[in-house]
Amino acid sequence: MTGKSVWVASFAAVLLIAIVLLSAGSPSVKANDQPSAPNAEVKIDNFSFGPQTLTVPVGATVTWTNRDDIPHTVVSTDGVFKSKVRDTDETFSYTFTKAGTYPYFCSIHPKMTGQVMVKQAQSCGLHCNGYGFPFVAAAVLSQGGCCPKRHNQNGALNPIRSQGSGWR
Amino acid sequence: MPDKKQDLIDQTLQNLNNDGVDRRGFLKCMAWAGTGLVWTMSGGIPMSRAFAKTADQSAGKGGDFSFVQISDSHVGFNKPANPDVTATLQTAINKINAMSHKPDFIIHTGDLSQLSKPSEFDTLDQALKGASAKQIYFVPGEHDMLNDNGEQYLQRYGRGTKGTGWYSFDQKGVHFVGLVNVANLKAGGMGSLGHEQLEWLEDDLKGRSASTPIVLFAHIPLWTIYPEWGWGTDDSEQALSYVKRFGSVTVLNGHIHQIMQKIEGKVSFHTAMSTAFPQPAPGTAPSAGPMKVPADQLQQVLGITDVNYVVSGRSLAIVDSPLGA
Repeated sequence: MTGKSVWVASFAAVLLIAIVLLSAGSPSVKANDQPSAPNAEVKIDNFSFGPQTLTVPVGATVTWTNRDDIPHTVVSTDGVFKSKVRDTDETFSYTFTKAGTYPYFCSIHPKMTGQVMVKQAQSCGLHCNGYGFPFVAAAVLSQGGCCPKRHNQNGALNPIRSQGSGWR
Repeated sequence: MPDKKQDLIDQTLQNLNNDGVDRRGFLKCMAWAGTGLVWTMSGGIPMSRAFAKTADQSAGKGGDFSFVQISDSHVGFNKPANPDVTATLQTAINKINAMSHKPDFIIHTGDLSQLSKPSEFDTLDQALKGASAKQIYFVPGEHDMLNDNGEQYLQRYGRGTKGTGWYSFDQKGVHFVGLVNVANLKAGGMGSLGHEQLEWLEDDLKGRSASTPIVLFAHIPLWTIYPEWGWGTDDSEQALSYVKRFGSVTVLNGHIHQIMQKIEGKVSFHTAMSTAFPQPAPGTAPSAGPMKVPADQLQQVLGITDVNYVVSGRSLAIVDSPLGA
């Protein structure tokens, strides 16, 4: 094999590994506030929202289902969303396109409160730039599919860690 | 009222009942048994008489009158706690019509409908057409304000009212005030009257003689019964401060689907049974929702309230009776 073809082969191999790992699905590293599935559910029962605090990633759709024998509503305290009245087994869905905390309540029974916490999804794959593909592969491998931002919010360099936590 | 006179009244009351039951216990027993025992105040001395006898004697006697409070008809509800709320509503109306004295009017303290649907309001109106009393006064419950901030309720029942549906009227010297504490509810809060309504109330009561009997009626209780379930009104203290100077104040509420009563000085508080379904006593269930009882007991936990006013009296006599009695 020539030097050039060796280079092409290893480039292709690394690229293939990176593609496979990036398409593997959700990261295996899970911190406490790691966003869960893109479609999440809240059950309304016994005059309460369950879970009372739900954490989802940006772009997730949350569906509330009324399992109580009395109608309820889902109303954002900041006027972001407002359901019509939902009787037993009726649902209301809302897709969260912006990160933030969204407290809400039932306008019929205002003691019923809950909140949805919407988190920015972690940056992955191609955001790890400037180090060349071999480095990307190593970083991707060590993070279980999601690689860390090289710079933190203040612009300083982050050390490469093998355990992902606190990086956004 | 001077304390000495109040003491005499309390003493007399206690002496009236040789079984040792005091006034609070008497009220509790009356509500529990639904016996329809009426006690009225005549010349400042309380007297208790059997319901039927009193009705014949006092009804229509120059200036005396009576009215009926019904509440929480929830037309449209169809779950196991009561699959046919229209039928029990009809039973309540039949009971009103069967009373030996015809009430001057009916007060409905809210939750007329279950889901604020036009068909539900229609059904209620149709049923009430058959009541012996043609004048009906309403205040909305939270179930009547769904989807449209109470627009439909106001169109149907809000003629002559202000804001979210509050108003007052006079009947034979008694001043009635209908209040709305189910609009613009805040997250984590209970019932709410709001600044505008409170200002109106203060103004409405201004200049009235302190001897004018006052009746306030609103859906959610105007005193704090159980905040965990929202059974109270956040700003009712201010409203009650406006009626403090009056000699006789009666507060009629609904919302909790059971009878609760409290007397504090010259103010009597009373909540009515529902004509649709009962709810659990505070803290006795995971939540305040409809409570299923055995079918043969349903008529015992739903009911109407007959209120009698005697001109010479100081307060209104409130009598609850279950549908099945």
